Amino acid sequence: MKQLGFRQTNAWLHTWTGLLLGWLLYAVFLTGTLSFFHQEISFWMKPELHGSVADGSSAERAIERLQQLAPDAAQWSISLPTERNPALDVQWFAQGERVGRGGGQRLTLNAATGEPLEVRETRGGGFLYRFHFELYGMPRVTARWIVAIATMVMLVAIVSGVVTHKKIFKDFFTFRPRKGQRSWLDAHNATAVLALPFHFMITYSGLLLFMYMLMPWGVSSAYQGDMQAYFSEAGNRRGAPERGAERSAGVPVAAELTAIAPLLAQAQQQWPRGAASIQVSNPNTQRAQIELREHGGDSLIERGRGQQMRFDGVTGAPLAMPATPPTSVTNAVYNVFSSLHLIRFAGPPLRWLFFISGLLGTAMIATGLVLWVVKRLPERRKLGRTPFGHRLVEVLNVGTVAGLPLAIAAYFWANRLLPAGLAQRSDWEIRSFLIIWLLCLLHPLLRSHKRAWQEQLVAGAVLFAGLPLFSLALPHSGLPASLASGNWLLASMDLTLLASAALLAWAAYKLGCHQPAATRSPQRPPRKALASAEEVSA
Amino acid sequence: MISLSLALCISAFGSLCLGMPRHFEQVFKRKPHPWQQRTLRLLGWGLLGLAIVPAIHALGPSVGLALWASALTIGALLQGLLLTYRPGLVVPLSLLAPLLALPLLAT
Repeated sequence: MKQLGFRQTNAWLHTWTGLLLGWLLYAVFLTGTLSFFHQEISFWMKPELHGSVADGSSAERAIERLQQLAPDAAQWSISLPTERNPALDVQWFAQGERVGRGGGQRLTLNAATGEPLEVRETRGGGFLYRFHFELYGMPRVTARWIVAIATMVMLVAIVSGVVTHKKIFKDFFTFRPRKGQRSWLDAHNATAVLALPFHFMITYSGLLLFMYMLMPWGVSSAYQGDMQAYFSEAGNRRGAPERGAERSAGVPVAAELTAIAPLLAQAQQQWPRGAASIQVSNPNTQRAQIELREHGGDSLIERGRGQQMRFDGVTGAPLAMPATPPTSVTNAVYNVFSSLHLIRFAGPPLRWLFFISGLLGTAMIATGLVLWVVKRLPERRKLGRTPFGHRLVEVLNVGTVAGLPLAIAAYFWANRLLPAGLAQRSDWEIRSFLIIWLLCLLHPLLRSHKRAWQEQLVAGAVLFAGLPLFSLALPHSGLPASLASGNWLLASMDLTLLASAALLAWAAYKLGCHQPAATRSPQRPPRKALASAEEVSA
Repeated sequence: MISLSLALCISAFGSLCLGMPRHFEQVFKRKPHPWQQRTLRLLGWGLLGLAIVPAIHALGPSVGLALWASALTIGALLQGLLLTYRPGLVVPLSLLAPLLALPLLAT
């Protein structure tokens, strides 16, 4: 066998790693890109919240409601409305109950009235977020390993891709439409190189996030398996002792809780972004304490961790806070990358920029997958038949590239249509997603390649376009209403759904106009064909 | 400030793509002088660097650099699409973008 040059070796590596894990990476990238907006998607998927409008006295309403529901609780927690979720979430723990993440009782309140809301059971955007690094229906650790390995391969594919496409920087601004394979390669290159800093950052930071989840051996051997000690030493919040433990025994003396509004006003003065949450321990007793937490900090090094303020719950006097330890360099690097990946810090403009970059990444993978098929068409024509492997790739391409958006649309539809009282409702939403995706993977087996693409794209377009229409029938969720009231949280979701529908419909239309190269009469000039065959080494 | 950073990136990539003979010809229908090519490239890189300033000023170094990196993507994407479909708009947009961004700064 002839020795391959450096570039050819890279081309080989790029082609085959890209193909084998491309479908998985496409799913990870698409669902991951949507996860930039997972809170917004969750909000959209709970139409019962859409009537909730936050105002200056939402916090007081939450306290009032908690006074009625659980005046003698051990602790109250209130998540204040944010621009990403305008409803109030309250949680309380009974006396003697362990104060932890899972326990307590929760309720969602209308921020405008303080009334409890009956919210449909859904995993919302959280499912897409989880799916992008844990997939579904398999042991968590296995799934994380699979995605981590795929992420590693992605990093390899990015580097080998830059080596392979040697003209990647010379062709930086080049896109030649309607030229078959040439156009696919241009599109693949452009989406790759234009967002290269983003691709590299998101892949590398993804790997760093997996590092702690999957390879804790270094830490656990140094700390003899005591991860808690590591995290508290590393200054991470997870290691902080629960405040519930501070409570000393004894009979609490009743005392009236101080008003919350002046405390919030104090916080507002120090924190331009305002407070995100309120925690009241031992409400209505002499030992009551109120703690406010800042809404997302400024620095990536601090991991967007906000400051806290603590007050005496009876007098309202400020109490001293334990000093926060400074962040070490190793932690700073990890924090910067993990925050970048999760964009904890970002306001809407930056979120949208990342979202577009993420879509470019998704398009890069999709064009790469299509390119694999297009590049092998001449070989197939010479052969006079379609080898099994090629057919398999075609089927998986349609079922993934067009099928996954279709399945996501089905997930949203299930959210709207399934009755609220259905047992395991949120599971059924996810099942609808999986069933439709499976059907999309089977459907191309029965149809010709082009037909399969067209039908799935059109079906996706119809489903996406229908969602905002269906919302018109709901009391607070219609697009005209949300536009009129300036509710951009809802309106942008509906507009994005319409844009997705338009994009899929456009792709289907373009495909309908497309004539396969074989039926086009004049061949390209031989010199050019030769030159491009040389360039296309992927 | 975010819009200014984005606008500078658009101008920068406009300048950079005109610094490449192929695209210069596409827009102006003639070959660039070597000095023109050099000037455009220098200007492009300079503007790219300059675009960091408003981003960091508005959002601090860490978030600012992240914003800058994604503004680069959008700027380059836009100019690439213009060159393909509307090459005549590359020069006007590159000149106008920072001016259009200025009124937004007030808000």
